[in-house]
Amino acid sequence: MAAAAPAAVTLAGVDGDGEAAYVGRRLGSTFWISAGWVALVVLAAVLAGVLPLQDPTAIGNNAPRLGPSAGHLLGTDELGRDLLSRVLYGARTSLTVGFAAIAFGLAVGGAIGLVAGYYRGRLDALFNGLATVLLAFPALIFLLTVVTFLGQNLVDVVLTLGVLSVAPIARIVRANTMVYANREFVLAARALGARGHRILLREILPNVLPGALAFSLVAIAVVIVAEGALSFLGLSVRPPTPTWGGMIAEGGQVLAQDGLVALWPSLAMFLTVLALNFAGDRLQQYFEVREGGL
Amino acid sequence: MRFLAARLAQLVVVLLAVSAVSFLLLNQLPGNPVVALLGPAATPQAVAQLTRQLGLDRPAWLRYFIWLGNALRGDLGSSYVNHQPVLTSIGQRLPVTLELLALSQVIALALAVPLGIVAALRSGRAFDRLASSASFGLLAVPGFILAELLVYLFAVRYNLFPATGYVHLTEDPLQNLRSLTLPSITLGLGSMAVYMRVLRTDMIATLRQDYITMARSKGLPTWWILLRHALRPSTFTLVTVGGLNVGTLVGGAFIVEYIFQVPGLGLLTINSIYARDYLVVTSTTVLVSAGFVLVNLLVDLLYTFLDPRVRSARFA
Repeated sequence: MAAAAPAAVTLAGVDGDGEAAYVGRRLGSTFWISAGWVALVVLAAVLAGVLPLQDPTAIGNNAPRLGPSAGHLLGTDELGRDLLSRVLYGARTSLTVGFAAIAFGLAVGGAIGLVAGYYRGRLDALFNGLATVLLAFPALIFLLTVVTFLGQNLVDVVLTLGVLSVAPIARIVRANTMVYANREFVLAARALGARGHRILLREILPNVLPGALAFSLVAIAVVIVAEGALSFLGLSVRPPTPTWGGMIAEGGQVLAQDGLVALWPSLAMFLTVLALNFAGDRLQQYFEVREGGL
Repeated sequence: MRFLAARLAQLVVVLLAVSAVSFLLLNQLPGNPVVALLGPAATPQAVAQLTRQLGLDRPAWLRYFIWLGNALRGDLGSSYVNHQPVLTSIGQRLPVTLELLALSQVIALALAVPLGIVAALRSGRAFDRLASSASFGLLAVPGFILAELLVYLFAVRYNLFPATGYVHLTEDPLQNLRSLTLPSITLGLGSMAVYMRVLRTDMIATLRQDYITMARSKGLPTWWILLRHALRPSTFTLVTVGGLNVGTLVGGAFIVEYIFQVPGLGLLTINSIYARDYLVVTSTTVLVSAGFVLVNLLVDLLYTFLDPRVRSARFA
């Protein structure tokens, strides 16, 4: 997440910084490759049911630990389940949790951030106090505890991760709201007699939203990793539902016999997280540069 | 001084809030240590008896205040499971986790500082692009994947380091280091990528300052300028990020301890969560939060030491 830091420097470093050259109006080809990969994974997850894949949970249809072949492009695992099918169905869990949790965080955290950043005062102080406590609270312990106790199903995992994402998202939105709250067009709207909620929704929100959405991509990557860690520990959605984290843990048991079982889900998760990080990072820079050019 | 007092007051408030939240949260959730201890087949009489014995029949808020009162006098209670005083378990486990954290940060800084400096010096050129891309890629590798990769390479493929089996420092220092090598690398590489990127960015900004040009024109050797003139004022963000990274780092350490079965605070916490051992979980949670707040307080104090001049100038 700290990766988003360099933006301010690239602005100053127009002379030969390398990066500065292509941070600008164009997003660059790597961005489109990243966005394309994310789109591909989303598509695969949505279409997993219609694609000619074997049942990802059926045991004993094939020999165990087959290498990649025409019939099984990625091979099979310890229980003879098709790995390609499991990786694609696993994308469903990861993406559902990632997108749903951040949608929740964005709705709740975004609203809190907007209100706290615009009205300031006591409300803002209250928010700051709460955020300080929440951010000092060890996220992983919270996550493990709540999920262990509540039971391991999709809704609880999504809500827990969503709650955890509220404070960081609210902080970013609050900071951006404060930047816009005193700009001329907001003052003008206020002078014309616009009410608070109108200014928030019509004047400030459209300006804050792009940056928040760009940050959300990186946040989705963080949530996907967190869900991966949970399912790696066996605490996310229960087996036999395939999850990348769970597959990586299973593959870890047979590393000595067949490293491929762990490799495929690891690669899928790595590339997806990398693409989300890159696209989010680039978009954040893109929107920041536009602000600077105003 | 007033700043310090305010921050210490903040620490107290945060710790009270964190302990209350974690204690009450744990008690609100379904399942309790009695069931975990006796198993599902226990008779209702046995359950009731053990519940009374452990004091669990009293309301949660009352137990919280009893616990808090004892905690302030240095008694964190005992585990419901093995009746070991919580303070004793933490005393045994904490040094292991601290050693793991320290080793990982040594690895992270030993790699990040030279790489960050050289990347900044040659910014935009091949080495910088390679190092920056590699660190960006590394940021996308979750700890548990990195752990498995390292186990595959160094334990399965080439039997250089053990995958599990912790040896205590007092038993055999050398074997202790060997058993912590893979866990520390797993944890350290993640921090390394963050640190390198941050240091590189700051260093590029510093190298553009007039006093660096001045030092160059005096004919001072490059390495001298980098280490004596440019490094310290460039560590501003690095230190901040390092402080904020503590939360992520401890979370990572918990998972790494679980994967490599290192008997530290993380393994204790995770096992206690499974066993519904409320007091142990609350205590470790408070301890981790206290560590987080204290480290960030320390970071604030470090700023003035690192560069008294920059404090007002940089954020002007």
